[in-house]
Amino acid sequence: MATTALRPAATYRTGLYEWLTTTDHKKIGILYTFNSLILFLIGGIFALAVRTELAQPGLQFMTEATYNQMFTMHASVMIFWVVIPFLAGFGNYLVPLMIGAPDMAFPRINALSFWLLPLSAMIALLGFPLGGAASAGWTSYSPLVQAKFSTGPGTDLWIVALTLVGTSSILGAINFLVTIFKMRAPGMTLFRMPVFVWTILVTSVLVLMGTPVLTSALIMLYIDRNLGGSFFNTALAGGNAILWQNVFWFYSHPAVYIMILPAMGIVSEVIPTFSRKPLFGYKAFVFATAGIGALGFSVWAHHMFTTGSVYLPFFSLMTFLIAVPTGVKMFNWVATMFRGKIRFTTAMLYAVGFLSLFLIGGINGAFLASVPVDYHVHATYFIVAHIHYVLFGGSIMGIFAGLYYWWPKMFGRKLNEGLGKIHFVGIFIGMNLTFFPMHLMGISGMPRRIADYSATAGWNDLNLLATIGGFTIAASMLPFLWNVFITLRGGEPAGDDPWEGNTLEWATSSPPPPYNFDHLPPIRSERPVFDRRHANDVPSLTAGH
Amino acid sequence: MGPIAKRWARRAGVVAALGALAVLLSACSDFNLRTAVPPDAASVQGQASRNIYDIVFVIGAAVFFLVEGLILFAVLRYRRRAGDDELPPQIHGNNRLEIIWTAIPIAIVLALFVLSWQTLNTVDARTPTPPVRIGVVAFQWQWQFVYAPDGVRWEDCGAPANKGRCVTVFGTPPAGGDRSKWTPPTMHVPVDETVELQMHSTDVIHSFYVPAFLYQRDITPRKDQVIQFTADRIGIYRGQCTQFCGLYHQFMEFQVQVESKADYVAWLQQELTPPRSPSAAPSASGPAGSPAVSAAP
Ligand SMILES: [Cu+2]
Repeated sequence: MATTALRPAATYRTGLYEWLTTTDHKKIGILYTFNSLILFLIGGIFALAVRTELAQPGLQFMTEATYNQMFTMHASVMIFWVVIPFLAGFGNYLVPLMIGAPDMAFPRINALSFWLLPLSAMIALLGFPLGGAASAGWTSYSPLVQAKFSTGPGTDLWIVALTLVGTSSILGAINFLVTIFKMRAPGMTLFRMPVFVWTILVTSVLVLMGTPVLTSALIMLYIDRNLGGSFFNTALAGGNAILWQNVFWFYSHPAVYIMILPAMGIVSEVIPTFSRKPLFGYKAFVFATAGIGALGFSVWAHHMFTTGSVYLPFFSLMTFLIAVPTGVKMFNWVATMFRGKIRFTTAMLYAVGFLSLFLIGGINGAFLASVPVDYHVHATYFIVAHIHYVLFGGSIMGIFAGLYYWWPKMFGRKLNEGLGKIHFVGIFIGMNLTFFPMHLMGISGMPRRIADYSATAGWNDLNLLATIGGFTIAASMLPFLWNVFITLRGGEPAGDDPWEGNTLEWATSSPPPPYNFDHLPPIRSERPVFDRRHANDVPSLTAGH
Repeated sequence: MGPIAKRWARRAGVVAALGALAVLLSACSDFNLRTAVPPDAASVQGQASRNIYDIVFVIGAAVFFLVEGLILFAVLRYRRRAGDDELPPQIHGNNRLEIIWTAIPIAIVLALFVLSWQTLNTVDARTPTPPVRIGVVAFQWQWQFVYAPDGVRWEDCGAPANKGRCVTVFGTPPAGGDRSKWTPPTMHVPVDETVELQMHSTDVIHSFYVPAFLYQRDITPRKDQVIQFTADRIGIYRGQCTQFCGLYHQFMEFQVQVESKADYVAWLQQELTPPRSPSAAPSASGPAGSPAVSAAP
C-alpha cells in the first residue's frame, strides 16, 4: 500500500452518518476518546457515591446493596471502559500517523472494536434499571459471584459485557500488531518508531496473550452461574475457587501493564518535546517496556499471597524484579529533562505529574512484593491507595497529558492553557488528598470494600479527608469540560505543529486529511520531524545515534 | 500576567493549598501519627513482619526523596527562559549511567527479596504440637470460634459423645444492618503460647485479619487453612474479614483477647460449666442460618 496516499476525491463528510459508519482510524480514535470521557464521568459518579457514603461512619446515603454495586461498577467502568479504551483510542489515532501509514490494517474490524465498547457499557449499566448491577467486586471472586450468592441479572450482564470488551481488545490488538509490522513507511525501522508505538506494540502482545484467558474464564463463569457448571463453584464437586483467581489474575495483572504502558508511551513523547531533547536511552526504554511485558506474565499470583495456595518466593521475587525496568524508565524520563529547556505547557505539567505520582505507585507496590508486608496490608485500603497511584496518578495523568498534547492535532485547535492549568492543579491536589490518606487507613487495618466502618477505629478523619479530595477531583473536571466545550466551538487555531513535535503526526495538517499524508519527510531517526526542522542547524546538534 | 506576577500567583497558590491542608489536618480529631505506622505488633510473627515493613519503608522513603528530588530539581533548574530559542545539547543516552541505574535497583530489590523471604519463614513457621488449637468457622456474615478438648477434633464437637466438652463462641448477628445492635465474637487466647487456628468457610471466601498481628489469611471453601501465631502482649485486639464476602461484609468483625494463661484457663472453665454466668457469650443459639458446627466437613 502506498504510504504517501493521495487525497481521495470523496468529500470529507462529518455528519452523524459519517461518524456512525466511519472506518477512518482518526475518527474512530476520536470516538474512543469521547466514549471514554463520558464513561469516565459515569465511573467518577460511582466513585463519588462511594466517597460520600464513607465520609462519616454510619450508613447515611445508601444501603449496603447499593454501595456494593457502586464500588463494583466504579472499578469495572474505570478499568474496562475508561483506561483501557482511552489508551487504545490514542493508539488508534496515533499509530498509523506515527509510522506514516494511511490507516489501520483492518479499518472495518477497527470500527467493530470500537462499537463493541458503547454496546457493552450499556449492557453492563443495564443492571441498574433491571434490579441491580453487578455487586461482587470487579474481581468477582467465586463462589461469591455464583448464582446462589449473587442473584439478579446484574452479574450475568456484567459477564456478557466483559466478554464483548475482551473481544474488542483482542481484535484491536491484532489490528495494531499487523499495522505496526506491515504498514510502516519506508525508513521507519522498528528502532525508529516513536516510543508510544512501542508501548502499543508490547501492550497488544499482552492483550493477545492475556485477554483470551479472561474471556474464556468469563464464559466458564457464565456456565457455572446459568448451566450448572462447576469450574469455580465450590458448592459442586470439582469446583475450585482458587482456579478463578488464577485465570482472572493471569489476565488482570498484565492488564495493569496494558493500562500503564501506553500512558508511559504518551509521557515519553511529551517530555522530550517540551524538554527539546531526545528521550534519554531510547533503546533501554524499549527493552524496559518489553521486559515489563515479559515479566508481567510471571507475577499474577502476588494478588494471591494470602490464599495459602501459591508458591510465595517465586512470585515475590518476580514482583520485586519488575520494579527494575520501571525504575529504569523513571531515570530515563528524569535524565531527559536534565539539561533540557523545559516549557511548562499543560501537557508537560501532566507528564511531570505522572512522574511524581506514578513514582509513589511504584514504591508502594514494592511494599506489596514483600510477602510478610502483604500479609498485613493485602485487601486493605493500602491496596486502594496503591492501585489509584498507579491507575490515576499514572494512567489518568498520562491520558490527560496526551489529551492536551494531541488535541490540537485531532481538532486543529488548542485547548485553553489557563483552564488546563487550573484543571491540573485541582486534579493534582485532589488526587493526593483522596488517595494518600488511604495508605494510612490501610496500614492501620481498614479493609477495602466495606460500606461502613467502626467509628472508634481511628479512620473517621482520614475518610473525611479522602472524601474532600474526591470532590476536589470532581470540581477540577468542570474547567476541563468547559475547556472542551469552548475549544470545540472555536479555540485558538493550532497549526500543523504547535509544540515543535518530533514524530510524524506533526508532519501533516491538523486535523490530518483522510489517509493522513500528502508526502512524508525522510525518516532517518526516531525524530523525523525534528530532523527536518533542524536540517540546516549545526551538525553536532542534530547528530542521531 | 507578567512572569513576576505569575511566580507570585503560583507561590500564593502553593501557600493556600498547604494552608488548607494544615487546617484540615488540625481539624482532625481522631487522626494521630499512630495511624501513620502499622500497629504495635502483639505477636511474635507480627513483630517480624513489622521489622521487614520498617526496612522496606526506609528504603522506599529514600528512593522517594531521591527521585522526587531529582524531578523537582530538573523542573526548577531547567526551565526554558522566555526568548531562549537555542537548542539544548542533544544527549541520546549514556551507557555507563544506564548500567548503574539498572544495577543498583536490582541489588536493592534482591536484598529486599532475601530479607522478606527470611521473615516469611519466621511468619509461616509451624510447630507440629501447638498447645492451643481453635477451630474458626467463617460464614456470611459471622465468625464462630470452637475450642475442643485434647484429642477431639473441633469438627467433631457437635457429636453427641462430645456434648458439653467443647466451647463455641458466637457473636450476635447483624440486626437489619444496625451496627449498634451487634456484638462481635471474642476469641480468647493465652499469651506467649503458640495458637493454631484451623479455619473453615461454609459459603464464600472470607479472610481472617488481625491488624495487631499484621496478618491475614483467606479462608476459601474446600480449602481449609491452618495458621499459627504466638501472641506476646496482653490486650484486646480488633479483627475483621478483609475478603469481600457479600452484602454485610462490613459486619464481619471480631476481637482477639490475649490474656494470661490463668485467665484463659479460668475463662474456658467458666464457659464449660453450666449454668453459664450472664456475662458469658450468648452461645446458646447461633445466628439465623448459621451452620451447626457438626455439619462442617
Ligand atoms: Cu467475610
